[in-house]
Amino acid sequence: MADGSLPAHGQIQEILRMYSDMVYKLALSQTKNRADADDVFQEVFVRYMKNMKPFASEEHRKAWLIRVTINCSRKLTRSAWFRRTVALSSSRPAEPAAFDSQEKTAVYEAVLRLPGTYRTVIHLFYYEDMSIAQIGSILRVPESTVKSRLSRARRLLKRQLEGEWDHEDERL
Amino acid sequence: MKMSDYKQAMKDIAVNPGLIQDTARKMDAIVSKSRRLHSPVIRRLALASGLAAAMVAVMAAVMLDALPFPGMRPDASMNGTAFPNPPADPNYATAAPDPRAADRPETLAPIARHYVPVQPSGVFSNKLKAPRFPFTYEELKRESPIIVLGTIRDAGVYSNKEHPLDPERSLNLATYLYTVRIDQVLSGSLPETEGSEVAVGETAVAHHISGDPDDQEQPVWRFEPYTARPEAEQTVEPGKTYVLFLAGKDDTDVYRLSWNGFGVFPLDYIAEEAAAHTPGELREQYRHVEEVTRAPMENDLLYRLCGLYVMEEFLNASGDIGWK
Repeated sequence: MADGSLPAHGQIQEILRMYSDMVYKLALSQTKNRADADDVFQEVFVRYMKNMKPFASEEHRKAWLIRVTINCSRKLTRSAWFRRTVALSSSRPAEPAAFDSQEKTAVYEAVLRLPGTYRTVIHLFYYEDMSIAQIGSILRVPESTVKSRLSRARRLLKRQLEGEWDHEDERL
Repeated sequence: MKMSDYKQAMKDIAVNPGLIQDTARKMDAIVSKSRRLHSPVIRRLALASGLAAAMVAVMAAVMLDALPFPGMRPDASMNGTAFPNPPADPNYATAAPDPRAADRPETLAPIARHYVPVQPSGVFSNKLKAPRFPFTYEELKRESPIIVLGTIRDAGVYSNKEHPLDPERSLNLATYLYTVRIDQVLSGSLPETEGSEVAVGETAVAHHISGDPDDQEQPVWRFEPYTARPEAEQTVEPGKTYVLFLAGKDDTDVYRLSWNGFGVFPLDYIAEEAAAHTPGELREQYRHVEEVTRAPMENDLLYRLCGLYVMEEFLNASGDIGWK
């Protein structure tokens, strides 16, 4: 089990309370589709329960969940079923989402149109508020790679949203 | 626009409480199972039964002079429908001859070549996502290069031989396959002539139908079509005639529905709807649902409305069940 022993029902609820939001939204950013995010969500927590290695800290647990979510999402999008669905429907656009402002809708959809590697860093940096060092450590890439992916992602977003983009890189 | 808009948008998205609950149940089940497996009595029993199973397998292999032997039997629980005969493949061994086999139609070659009937067992994950469906009849038609009128000969749930079901994975999708005799091609073209039989497939998913969810040692599962159709029309019925909206053939030579789980309309259903409602009435109800709730299958409205449009476009103006 995740901490080396079998967790009680209450501990399972607590893990879900702490991490369901993080796992689900990361899965959604990766798969661009609520239904697939549902699948990834379940797969991640089932794997969590089957994982026998203990975690050294809460940060370690969080990093493990993020990495597994990314891996499960990739596995799903590369699966034969997913590819067949794409082949039949000829494209798999991001699921339309309804937000209360045009800005949210436009930026959300623009992020989901980014290539997968850029979506990941954008999501972890801007939604999870993770540092470049943390992202590099989770993705197992150098910090310079994270920086360049962020920079390219922002360039692509700016191009997609044309004149409506407002630079606000407080953390870089 | 700023990146903080992305954060706000993500914050607006809520995780489905049903998904969390279902996941918690699965996690609890893993704990219960793990506790049982780690008890000393179970460990001893497992060792003993493992040895016994190995001996039985070796004896069976010697007696049948063939390894491996799938020995799969179809699940005849769906809709009271008989399943097709096992494929005429020398490697495909059946447990015992079925006395009803003589009454069943032959299994089509593509089905026999690529699929085996599903034997539900072990732990399968349930799927929570709803199937996709079009929002309008035009959308349904636009993505349906082939529309046929056909009579169902047989139906069953199969798994692809190249992608067997894996209880360890969350995706346990089988294929609900039906053999269809093409009565008339209503739109588009296909290589087969009218009167010939083709295989049509849509996705099937595992549903947990009985047993304690926390006790997954002997869960009972059933595969059902993964469909947004009205409850009574979720499976197809041999002998009945349907209008089918098809996308084309997949790599197993099986025709796929253009909208998985949606575009199959029984003729009698269409006729009943047409007798009860005009397209105008349903269109008005659906317009409200589509604009306000964006829930096309509320009260099965979209399916019923599409049925009426099928009637309008392909049936005689008189409404008789005689095709143009």
